[in-house]
Amino acid sequence: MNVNRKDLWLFRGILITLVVALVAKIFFMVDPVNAGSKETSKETPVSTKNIVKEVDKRKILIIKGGFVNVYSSRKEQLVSDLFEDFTKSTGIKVNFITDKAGKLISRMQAEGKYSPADLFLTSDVGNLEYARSLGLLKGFKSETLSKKIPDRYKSINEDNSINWVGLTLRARALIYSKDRVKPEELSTYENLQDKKWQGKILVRSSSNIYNQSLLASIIEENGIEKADIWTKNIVDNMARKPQGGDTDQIRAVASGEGDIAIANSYYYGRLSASEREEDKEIVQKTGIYFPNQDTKLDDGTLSENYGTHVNISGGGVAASSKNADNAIKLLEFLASNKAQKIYAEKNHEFPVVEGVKESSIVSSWGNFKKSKLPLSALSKHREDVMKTFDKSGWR
Amino acid sequence: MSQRNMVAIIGQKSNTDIYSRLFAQVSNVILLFIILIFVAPFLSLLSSLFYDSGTTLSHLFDTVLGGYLLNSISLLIGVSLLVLLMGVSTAWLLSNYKFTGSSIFSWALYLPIAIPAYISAFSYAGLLEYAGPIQSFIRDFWDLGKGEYFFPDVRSIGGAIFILSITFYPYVYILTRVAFESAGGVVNVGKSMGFCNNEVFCKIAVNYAKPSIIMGLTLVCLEVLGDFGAVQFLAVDTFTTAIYRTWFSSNNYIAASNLSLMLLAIVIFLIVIEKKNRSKAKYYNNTSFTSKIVKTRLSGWKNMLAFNICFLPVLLGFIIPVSILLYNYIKNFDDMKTLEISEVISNSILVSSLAAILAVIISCFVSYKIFSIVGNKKAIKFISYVKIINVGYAIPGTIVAVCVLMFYGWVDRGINEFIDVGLIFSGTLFALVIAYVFRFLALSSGALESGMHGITREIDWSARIFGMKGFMIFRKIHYPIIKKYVLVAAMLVFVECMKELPITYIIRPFNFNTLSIKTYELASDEQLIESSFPALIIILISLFPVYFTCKKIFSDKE
Repeated sequence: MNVNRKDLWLFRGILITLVVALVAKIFFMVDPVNAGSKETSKETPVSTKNIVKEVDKRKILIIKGGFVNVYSSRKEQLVSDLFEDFTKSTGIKVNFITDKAGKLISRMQAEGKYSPADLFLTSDVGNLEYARSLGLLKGFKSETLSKKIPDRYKSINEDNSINWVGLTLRARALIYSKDRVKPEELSTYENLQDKKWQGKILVRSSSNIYNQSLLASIIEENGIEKADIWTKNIVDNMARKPQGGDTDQIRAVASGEGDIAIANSYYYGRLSASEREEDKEIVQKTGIYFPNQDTKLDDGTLSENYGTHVNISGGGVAASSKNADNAIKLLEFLASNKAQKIYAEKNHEFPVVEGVKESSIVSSWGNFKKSKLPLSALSKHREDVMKTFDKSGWR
Repeated sequence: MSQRNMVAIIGQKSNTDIYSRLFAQVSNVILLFIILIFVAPFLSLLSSLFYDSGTTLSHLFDTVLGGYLLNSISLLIGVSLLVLLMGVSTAWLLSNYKFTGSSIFSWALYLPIAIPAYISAFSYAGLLEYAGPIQSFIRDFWDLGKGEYFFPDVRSIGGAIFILSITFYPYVYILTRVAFESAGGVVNVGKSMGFCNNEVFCKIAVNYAKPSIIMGLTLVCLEVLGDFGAVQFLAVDTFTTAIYRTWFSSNNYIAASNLSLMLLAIVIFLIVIEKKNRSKAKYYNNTSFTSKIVKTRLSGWKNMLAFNICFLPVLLGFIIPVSILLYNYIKNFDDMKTLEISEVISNSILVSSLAAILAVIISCFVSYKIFSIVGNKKAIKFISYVKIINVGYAIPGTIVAVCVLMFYGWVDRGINEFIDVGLIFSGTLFALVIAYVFRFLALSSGALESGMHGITREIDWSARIFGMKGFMIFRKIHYPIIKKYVLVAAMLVFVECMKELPITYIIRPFNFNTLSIKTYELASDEQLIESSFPALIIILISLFPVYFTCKKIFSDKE
């Protein structure tokens, strides 16, 4: 119980220094966040003097083009290089935070019109539409984007202003075991209900938005009753209860836990690009199949199908944005051929802009028919989707 | 003490009374203010009661909610039993016996606290799943296929109970251990009265340590209820899952708030039980505080047994998960070099220590306030409701975060209507630290209160007789007694904040990353192997305070 007095003073000394340092640092940390809203909310031009001072303080490169604040549900390692390129070519600094889309939306809601957010980037149309329906996105005009991005991958108002645009495409594909499944046996999402796949299908939890959007598209194509039955049958055919992410499903196909995985195409692309021995082995044992293609019948006629479900990752300008011009510039940059190419190479998604080449891995999969459904049509099924999942026991 | 001195003290009484009354008034105001800061964000949850939540709730009741609830309850029961078994047995062994490695176990048993539960879950799932090395080996060696052999599924209730138990038992261990150590006096008296060791344990020590054990257990239960990362990864749906799904998948904020309120009700129920139990079991240690338990040296099979009992939790909770992470790290060393990590580390340490300091100060204040109220029964009753600020611990981090954001966002918007200052509370480190403290206040106040129960009224009275008052008593008498607990409290909060994920994720300012965010971003992007590096650093940094504190509180020096 006896304490050495020297120790005590040393301890106190350290403690006090620490507290002072922390408090000091906190003020520096708080500053830049507010800088955006503080200076621009008065609608006065951004004073460069302040920015330079700000920047000096934080020892960041001196910038001339202002800044843009991004709320991104795309992972940092996917976007940070692109942001750096953007800053290099325009001089606009990109501040960003990342999180799950739902939480970023809650944050934007809480911050209301004072939110520092300028640009909202996320994957899946469900998230973009949800943000739009809450009034968190504002319409903007951009000739470049209007021209470059096909209409079914963006949401357009009557006055031709854009709410959100898609920036990359991904397909919800089937990954099958080469040993146990012949690609001829596969055909459609609907075909997965067949009893012969009992105990063979691998898919992740229904809490994930990729599955929600897939079910929404199945409801849109087949109606709610059939979708209800589809969900129940898929649950009956599952190899195990839904767990892990898409990559885990692909791994489980390779290890023999199941035969068919429902997964987004770029996860398979990433595994194919991986240098790791175990990943190479997985890719060797598996193949990728794009369901719901048109098929030639025996008599030579073509039986049409609606095409593989594709979804987007994309972005929109925040309603609270004070740097909307910069946000649009960033969106246009992300839709530029150069950025599209980087996206395609890095994450093995399909470029949304026509004419940009896919990564060599993705192009080796060949062409396939993508669903023509306008993506903005999916969000109206959101509530039905969750209820259908809950009823079926798809966790 | 002579009659004259007594009279002199009584004579001064009226003078001191004014000060102490003033002090009491001021501290009441501060208390109210603290409660307001922390509880106000939850008003936004309460307000949800007045809105229509649509059909979502009844749909949930009809379909999945029952199953979720059942899972939550099984988790609670299973984890409680296991942590009691591991925590109390090891604490008793270490405070009463010397055996091979006992001085190492003394702190090593606490190490699992440094590992976030979701990281343990990642590691174990990778090891034990169908595609993992163990099952692959079994299949290859005996040439078996799927379903032809039995292997427990790690992604199940059982697996979740196992993983949560080996991560959370240190709470019970440390609080119980501290209590056993300070029970030296009563234990020695018991021994000298001819009780055998078993009897001393069952009849005296456990009863004496009961408040601490129950406190530890309550913390574990709250942690289990609030956990989302680990159980989600292990594919176990709990009540928390319902809240998440309703909020972020069905986008029904109102229904999700209602569910959160239900969870809150369960939590308050737990806390009340704990409180009841504690008021029933008030045991004072009237013997000298400095008397230590005389530790018996074990030998032979008893030595082996004690060693194994203590080694098992360390092996399962720390050595295995860390080895897996290390293996991943070393195997993929080349890929990891590019990760820039220094700023992330300093960010993590900054916010964690800030929150730890604040939490300790506040909980010191609050527990002291609760403790120092004497007499008036109504006041005691009222003040004990102050413990409501502890409920943050059981609410899933994301819900805490969203509530804090909503409330301070609202405050900010209000302020901005008048003065143009930007968002000064929400989305800054202020909100982050507030949310941390709110979430983890239960830890520090739990630790402190279990320390305060060692302070008897008699000590205070004697101090007063010697002319001490107010703060002086705290500094000279109470602080030395609870000092150990203050350290424990600070460490608990620090380590917890280092590991914390959902709150940091959503409230942080721009360009602000912490280690846990790095870990999770990599892991959730299905790059589990890359995530081992930041995960290891979290563990490494948490080890320092853990080791330091354990050394300090369990040192055998007089």
